Amino acid sequence: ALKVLKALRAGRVRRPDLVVAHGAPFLEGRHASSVGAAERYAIIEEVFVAALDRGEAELARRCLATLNARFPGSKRVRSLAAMADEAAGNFEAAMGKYDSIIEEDPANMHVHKRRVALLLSKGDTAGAVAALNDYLALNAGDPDAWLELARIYTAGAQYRRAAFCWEELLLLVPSNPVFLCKYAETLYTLGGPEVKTARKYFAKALALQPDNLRALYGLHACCQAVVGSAARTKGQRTDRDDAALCADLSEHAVARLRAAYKGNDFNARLLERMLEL
Amino acid sequence: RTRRGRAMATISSDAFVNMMLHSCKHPHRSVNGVLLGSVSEDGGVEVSEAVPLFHGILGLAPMMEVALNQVEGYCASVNSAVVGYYCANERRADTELTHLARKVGERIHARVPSALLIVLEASPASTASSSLPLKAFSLSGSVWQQRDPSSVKVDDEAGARAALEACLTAAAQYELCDFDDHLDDGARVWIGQKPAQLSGRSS
Repeated sequence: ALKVLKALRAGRVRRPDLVVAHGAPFLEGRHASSVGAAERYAIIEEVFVAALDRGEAELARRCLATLNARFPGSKRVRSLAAMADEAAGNFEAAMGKYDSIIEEDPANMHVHKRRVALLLSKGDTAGAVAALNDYLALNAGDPDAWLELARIYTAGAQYRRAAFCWEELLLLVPSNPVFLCKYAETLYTLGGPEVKTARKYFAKALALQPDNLRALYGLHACCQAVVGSAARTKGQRTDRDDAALCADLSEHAVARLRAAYKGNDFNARLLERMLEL
Repeated sequence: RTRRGRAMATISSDAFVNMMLHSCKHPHRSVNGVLLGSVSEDGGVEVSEAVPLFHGILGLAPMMEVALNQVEGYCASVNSAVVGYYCANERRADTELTHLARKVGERIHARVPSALLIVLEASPASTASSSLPLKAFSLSGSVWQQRDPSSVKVDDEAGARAALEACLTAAAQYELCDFDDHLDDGARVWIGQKPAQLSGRSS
């Protein structure tokens, strides 16, 4: 059970069903010999959040009661209580709790972010964006916050602002192929001259992960788009050189995609039909 | 025989279950996918399959284009067509059509005038609810109008709901592979998944 919980924590995977299944026994005091007290309470906190995720209010209540008994008045436990309010739809009560913690502890990063999450749950996207921007003004080194803001902007089709967030995120975490690809995808979506920049970033991702499917497809798409637009605008010499580069990159991408799908006829055929278009 | 403007949209049991499983797999994220099937002469739509595409970040062009191109190629090979698009907003209570949904809808509508847009609501808490947990839209002129709920039905709805509940009990939603998952693991297949197979794998 401990191994499963550790794996979920490390992978930041959201599987509340597994957390409840493997973590709930710790609440009852089972496996007491295999964990220290601190770890047991950390697990109970995780079970609490998972219980809220699954709508298991009674289990959540029992977890909170246990934590409250052990850590009365703790800000961390108070913010958990606020989460329970959120889960029940009592947004006013939750915001009140978060605000009172912030008053006592203005630098509490976790609660600032909970406030943003609450605003999103309420549907107040503008408020959430404002709060997140305020938070980032003071905490520009928080990758999770930049990621969340990028997500929100992308959902609202504000791709230029999203691109800015990905840039900030990449300053903090430069060699993450996931972020490199998402930035590239955002640039491609912006279109025009950004497509060549997107091509560069897909290539950077491939330098780190030569078989990254997103980067391969992305590189191929960028090359097609660049060649397509050059053909339309009857470009100059530099564009013709670039066309040769595109052809090379495209060929490379297609070769690696074909290699990736070797042994999987169905997926290989999907690729071939797409290339025929 | 249906009257003009009242052509039915029928969703197969498998398509309904797949859409709901996709939504249930990522309850805290937006999800989207395309609907495959056929159209009838009177403008009716029959959805035979729901192909899940993305979860989390939906609106980015390059992977969406790849997915749509591959789905269209698949359709040509099985004599089917892309007849619609489904999505669930991050806040399931929000059932508005997003800019992305309209854009994809218009692309599909260009070839299939009776194209269907579906916005999923929260998963039915019990099988006793009387209405389908979704809103359907059709393009009328340049406006996507919500279809009268009576013009949308699920084939064998009771059976579909039971199948969905069985899948959720078996945590089968975690076996569903969307295009995003495929991009993370090229060995996985994202088209042609049947709920019965998913339950089989998860038990």
